[in-house]
Amino acid sequence: MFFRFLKTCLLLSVLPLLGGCWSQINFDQLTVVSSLGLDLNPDKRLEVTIQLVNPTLPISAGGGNQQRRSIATYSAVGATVEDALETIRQQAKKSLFFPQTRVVMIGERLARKGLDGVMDYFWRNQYQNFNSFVLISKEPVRQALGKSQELQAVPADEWKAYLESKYYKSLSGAIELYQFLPRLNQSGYAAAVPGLRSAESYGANQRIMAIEELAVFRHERLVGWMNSDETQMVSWLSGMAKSGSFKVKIDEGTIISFQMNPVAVRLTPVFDGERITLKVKMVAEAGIVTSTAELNLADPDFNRKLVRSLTDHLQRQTEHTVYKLFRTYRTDSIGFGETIHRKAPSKWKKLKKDWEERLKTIKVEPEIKVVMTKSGLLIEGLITKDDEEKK
Amino acid sequence: MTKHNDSNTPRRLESKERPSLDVLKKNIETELGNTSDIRTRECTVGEQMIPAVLVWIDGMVNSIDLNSNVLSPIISKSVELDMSPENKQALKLLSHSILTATETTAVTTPAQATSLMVEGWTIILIEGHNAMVAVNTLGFETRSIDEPSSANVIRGPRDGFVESIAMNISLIRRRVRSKQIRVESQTLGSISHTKIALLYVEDRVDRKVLEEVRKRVSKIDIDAVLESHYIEEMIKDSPWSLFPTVYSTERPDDVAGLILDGQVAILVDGTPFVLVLPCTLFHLLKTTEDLYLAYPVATFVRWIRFVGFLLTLLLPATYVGILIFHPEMVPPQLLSSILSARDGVPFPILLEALLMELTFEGLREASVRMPRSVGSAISIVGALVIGESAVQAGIISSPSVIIVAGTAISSFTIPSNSLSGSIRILKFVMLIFASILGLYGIIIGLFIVGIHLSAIKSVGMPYLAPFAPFKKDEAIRSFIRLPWFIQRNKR
Amino acid sequence: MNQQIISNKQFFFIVFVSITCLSFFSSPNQLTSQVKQDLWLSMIFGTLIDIYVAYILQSLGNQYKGKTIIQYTGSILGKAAGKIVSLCYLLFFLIVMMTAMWIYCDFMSRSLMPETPQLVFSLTMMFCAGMATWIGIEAIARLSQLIGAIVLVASIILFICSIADFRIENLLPVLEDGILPPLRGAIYPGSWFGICITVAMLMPHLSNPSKMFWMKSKAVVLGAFIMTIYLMYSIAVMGPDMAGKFENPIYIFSRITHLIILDRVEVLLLLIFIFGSLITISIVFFAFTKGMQQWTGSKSPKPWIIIFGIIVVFSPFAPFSHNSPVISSYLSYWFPIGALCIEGGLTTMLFIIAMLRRHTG
Repeated sequence: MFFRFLKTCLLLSVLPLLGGCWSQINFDQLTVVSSLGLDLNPDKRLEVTIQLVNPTLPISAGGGNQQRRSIATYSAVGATVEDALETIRQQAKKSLFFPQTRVVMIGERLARKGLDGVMDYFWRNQYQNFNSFVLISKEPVRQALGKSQELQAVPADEWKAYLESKYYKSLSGAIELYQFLPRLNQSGYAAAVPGLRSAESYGANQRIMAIEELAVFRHERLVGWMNSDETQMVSWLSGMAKSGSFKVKIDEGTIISFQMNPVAVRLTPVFDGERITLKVKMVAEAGIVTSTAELNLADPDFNRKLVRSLTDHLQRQTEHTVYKLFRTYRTDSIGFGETIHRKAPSKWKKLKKDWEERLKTIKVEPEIKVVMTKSGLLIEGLITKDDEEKK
Repeated sequence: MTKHNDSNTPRRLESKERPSLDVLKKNIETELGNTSDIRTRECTVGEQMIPAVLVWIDGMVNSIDLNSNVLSPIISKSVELDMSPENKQALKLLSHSILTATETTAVTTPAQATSLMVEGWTIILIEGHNAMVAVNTLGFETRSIDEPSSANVIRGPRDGFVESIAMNISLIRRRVRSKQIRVESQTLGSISHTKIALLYVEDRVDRKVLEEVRKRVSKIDIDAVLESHYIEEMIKDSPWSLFPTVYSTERPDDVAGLILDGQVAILVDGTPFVLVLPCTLFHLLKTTEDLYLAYPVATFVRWIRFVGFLLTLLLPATYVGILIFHPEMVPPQLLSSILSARDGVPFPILLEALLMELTFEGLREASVRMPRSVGSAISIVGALVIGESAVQAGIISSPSVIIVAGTAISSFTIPSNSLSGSIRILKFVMLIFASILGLYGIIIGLFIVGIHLSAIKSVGMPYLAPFAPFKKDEAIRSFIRLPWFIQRNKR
Repeated sequence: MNQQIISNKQFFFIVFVSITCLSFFSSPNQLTSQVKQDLWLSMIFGTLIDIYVAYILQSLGNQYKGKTIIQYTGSILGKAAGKIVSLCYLLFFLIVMMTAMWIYCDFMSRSLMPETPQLVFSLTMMFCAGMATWIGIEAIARLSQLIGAIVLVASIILFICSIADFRIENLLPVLEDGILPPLRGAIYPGSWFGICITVAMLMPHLSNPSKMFWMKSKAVVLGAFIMTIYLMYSIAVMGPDMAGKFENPIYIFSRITHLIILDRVEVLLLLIFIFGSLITISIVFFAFTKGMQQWTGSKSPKPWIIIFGIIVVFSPFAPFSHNSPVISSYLSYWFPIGALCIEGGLTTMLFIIAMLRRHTG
């Protein structure tokens, strides 16, 4: 009887506790933050911009006719990210919902100054989405987020879809937050982030954003940009992408585009006393996509020439890219340091300290093997002209 | 009672010598309280043309039976019989060689006679004889065997139990024509005197289960048993548990299959629902029809039922729990469309879900009790008012209508009515848990339900058997309907 | 109370669930940050320690059939010393429960439901565990069988779905700093796996106690294997640096993984493991209250369930519970060492004394 009494008391004491509903979210006030932007404003203060999604019915459910803005952007200045977000909350009067953020955008100005002290927010806050993509905006984030127009109502959705696609991966060099964050503190594998800028040639009133080029970081600071061809090479060398396209100029006026799939790359360090050599072994299968002049693939000599020039181009591109990274920017965006760490852990311990300095002295030895596989629907040439004319 | 004694005792004493017919008749009538449905038929028996009277209760006897087996033999064939009160063998002779009814007996007191009369017997009173002859002429109108309304089949036998216990036993015996079938009858209910019968197959039944069932049935102390559920609740293992631990069915083929599996059936007179013990959760999720369908189809349907069981319990709770505690789990596009569908809806999510679920339960109850012709009207009103107008008017959001409809459909996949009822109650409990603690609350609720389910038993068999405790062969057989050519010997 | 019997399979799942669910919440943090890629070696060592303990318990159990560890310490050491040693075990159970409860509540309030007070978690969990203990070991065993299967299936599905993100390079180099760190790291899985000395309390309930060692070893190996895969996966997906930074890398790993259309599966995974943890707590609580009943010689363990249930509910408010230096030195140093001393040391001592007794007497 006593226990029954005790049990009842216990149960009753639970009841008032359960009245709280603490972690409940006011679902109707919930607003999805589609992208979060960080930048420095002209006064060199941290400016946070967020893009909010105004939920609309999907078009298939008759939501096409709805007359409402589908996005809204807010920005505020603050000492910390949270500080600025507080201000934004006062402006937007909604409960901001971060777990489905598609894109984290960082302004070039902030990135050049260095991200130290800012990114801690993303490590610590349990609501942040580690799967969101990182982009570096060449123009102020506030403008980029506020004015961008895409085919879809929410631009960040479009960007995410592009960055997620396997097909474009080598070109974009897409990186997710969970990959980006640790690389900021790693010397053996520095971060490289795709850039975003408004494409010219569309006029002022139409803002089409292009995801292109690659921002290269040394630790937490942006040090430079790689152009599209280099971006692709970085993606291949770091093992992030295994396919891509490549164009080769054979003779004067003959340019051939190749589709490379798959591209297998192996980095091997060779130690010779103090000297370190980076051996790049690349095996690729290439197929012709298009050519500006007639090709005679039946001719073995021509074929050999084609392969040789493709190999040469790839070799030159590899050397160019790696030297640009290692010598000009002194950063290791292809993860060579980590390769050494894995293959020769004891050596890495010594190298680790002055790795950035040592990068300048590293020599690259590409070893490239290309196999021609497909040549499209045609076998021999570009366009076979009329027989009579040929004669 | 006292009045009865006062007035009758002297006359009875007197009639011990030579009971007159009137007195005998009077005795019986007073014993039955002069009830108006007593019918009598006067006639004469024997060489001596001794007056006799037949007494029965109207409606309990089969009049054809009464005519051909009792009345006409007495009138036409007893002429050569010496029926004088001095002849001690007279009544014995009468019942042995004249009456052609299946069952006769001799009774001496009016109390004995009346207790037989309420069971449909006819009493023959003969002037000068103290003893009476009772003849079984039981026969009342019963429903004919037709398809059970609680369980329809697409393929399989279409006969269902009726309200007569004898008929029901015969329905089972027709299917299992084995001498191993045992029927143990007894009467329950101090007023209703309801016949119940334990039915089992002698060489397959689990002895322990049988002993336990016998013990529990014998312990029942009740005044009336009008339906088998009275017994179900009295012999259930955990009386307070929401879950049914006794299986009830209206289908003879179901019972036949189960007793072949070694289970014990309890038939109760006056109801078409037969109880079968023991019964586990997975028994309740199986149907006999599984065995009549092709095995892949039956297996698939069975899995759908398992899923339906879980959905009924968890779907509304998960909806509420995810939306108000963990909206990040919803895929972005879905979240966007739920958010836009909820735009302007006045009720919070929990209230909306509760309201809709209650409305649905109400509709369901209303349509069950209504005559068939009105039932369709209710479904139209329900579908139109709730499904269409409430959403159009922006009072209820369409996702919650979808959730409620999904829950309803899932609940219809549960074959057992009693199980579906208890799951529907637990659904609300889960909803409350989810609204307080979200998905964590659901886990807490599931743990409590799980611990309860693992703890309860049905006459010694764990309720979650054969999965916990795990028995490989039986678990496979509950999970997959094995084809007959694989399961060789037994069902 | 009539003797409740658990079958070997149920016993297997009890041990499996306890190991996976306890180590899911407790050891990843120290292991990934200190041992990184080589944690599989720590796991193997930890498993070996535990198998050794299981062997001792098996031989002790064979010697004193039908008795729990609390009962046979008395027979081995004599009455007074036996009481003290068995009190050590009981206190150990209690400390393990409180530590586990503290870890759960802390973790839940950090990641799953930040605004909810910790008391709510400890209260609901303790209510469930108390109820399960009240009902008895048989029901717990049955439920653990179900949840064990669910844990196994869910883990396998998760592994298959995240195979695309798996980067095996992240697991290299092997033995970067030699064999010492993984050896040192072995105390974490070793101590938490060792919690299975609760089996010494369950042995009288086993339907076939002579198979205990075999079943337990199998379960420990399977559990350690699953946990190793989890940890290796989280390192391979996130890289050792990132994995080492988080409170619970497995949680972050499940956050990163996509499951078909669900972007965030971590809540589901967490829920499954919380369910398992409820069972684990129930088992430790059962062992503890049963032991308490035997130690004090009272008739029923039920009063102990209520008394200690209330005590454990308040474990999130234990002194120093929000003092990070104390917590981290307790979790990464004092608790594992203490646990190993009791599981390994005290039990070995019992074993040796029992051996000597048998040979002399």
